[in-house]
Amino acid sequence: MSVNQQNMGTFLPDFCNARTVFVIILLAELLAISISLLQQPNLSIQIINLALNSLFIQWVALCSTGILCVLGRKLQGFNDYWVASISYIITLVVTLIISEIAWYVISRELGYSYINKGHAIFLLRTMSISAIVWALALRYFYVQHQWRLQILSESEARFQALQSRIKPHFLFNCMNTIASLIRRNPSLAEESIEDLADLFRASLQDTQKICTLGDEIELCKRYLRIEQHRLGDRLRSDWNLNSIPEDTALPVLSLQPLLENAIYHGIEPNPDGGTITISGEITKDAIIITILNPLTLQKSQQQKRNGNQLAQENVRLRLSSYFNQENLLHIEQHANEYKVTVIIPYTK
Amino acid sequence: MKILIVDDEELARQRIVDLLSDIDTEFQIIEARNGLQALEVSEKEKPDIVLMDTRMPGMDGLESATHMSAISPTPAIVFITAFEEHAIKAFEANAIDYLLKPVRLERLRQARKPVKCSIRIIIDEIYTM
Repeated sequence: MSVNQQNMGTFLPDFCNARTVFVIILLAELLAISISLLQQPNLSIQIINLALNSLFIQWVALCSTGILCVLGRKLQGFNDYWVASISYIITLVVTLIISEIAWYVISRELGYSYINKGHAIFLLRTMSISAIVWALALRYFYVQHQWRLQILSESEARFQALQSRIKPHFLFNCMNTIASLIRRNPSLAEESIEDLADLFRASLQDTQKICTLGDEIELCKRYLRIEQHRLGDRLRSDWNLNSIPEDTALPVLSLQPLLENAIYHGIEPNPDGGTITISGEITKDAIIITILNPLTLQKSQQQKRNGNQLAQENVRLRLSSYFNQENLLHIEQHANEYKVTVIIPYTK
Repeated sequence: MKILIVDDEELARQRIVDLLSDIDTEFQIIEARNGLQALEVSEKEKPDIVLMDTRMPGMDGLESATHMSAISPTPAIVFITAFEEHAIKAFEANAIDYLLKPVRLERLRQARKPVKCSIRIIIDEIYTM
């Protein structure tokens, strides 16, 4: 689970919270009513039973809640199994103690005969009910906690996905470039804004969307043009895509994030820049696109710029889920070059 | 006043040049493309102010700034960056200010004020010695 569990505490609710205590009292009372309805058909005896059952169950419920409230913070370091076991044992021990007290008070002081059938049977009944109800309660708390964690991690993943598609550095550098171009070359500035708009339109749309290879290549060219303004003659690109069919379908942003990685890791860290080669070839059942970028030799620079796996993993997942085929993205890292190969299944 | 602009992107440097010329046409502006070049130029030209990008290939701005404190007189360093993540590191590297891209004219004008003051203080100190 990517969401850090320290912030969430254990899977148990906060037993010191007034709302939790109120819900527990309410549930305990409903349990008392259910048990009373099962015991005697006679209404007047039912009411007496209800009073006694309520008294007993509320004592067990509130004592357990009290102890779990005090222990709550101390349980935080333990894993779920320990938390479940410890809280389960606590509640059973509380039930046992209160059962003993109840047995003592009712049999000795009030002198009720009907529970004199046997100490052991009384204990067995109370302990069994308590064991079943607490097991259900723990299960409920656990499922609810998992559900909450899932919502959190989903929203976190969505945010990360959005941030990986719109890199803040890229956006602000791009804005700066456009601000500069407005004075020096207004028509280029205009073109940059149009390219940036297209890139954002692609980034912000549903990632499940499908486009043609031609559209994706056009998007890559627009992206490259934006980066070209920024990086100038440090960025050189070489396209060899003449022979491939452009009408084949693929998920949007299958190539552009890989090109972005190539620039980010291969060109930007190098003072002299380099050449990115994008080539395409067609085999009998697939179109193969390769993106080749040089690697800078400085290790320290490379370490500062890790994190290209996120975009690659995203592309890999979307390709395999669309084409229903694994291994459509290949990475080869050599001493001074980095090669990404995308295989797009294609039938003539 | 001599100002050194350090950025690996030509258009980013141009923007600062344009903005500075809006503020004052008397500035003497020099440029460098990375941290290492910035150090060499600073040694030779002794700029009063260095406006420097944090992320550059070769030597980055933060590293360059720490080396610049060895140059005397030490130039006043203002970092210019695309995204706020190095702000604390920047001040650790003796920067006097921190601007965000795209740089605003008003913000650049304000950034110069403490620089002028600090330079004046240094000059005053030299004269009173």
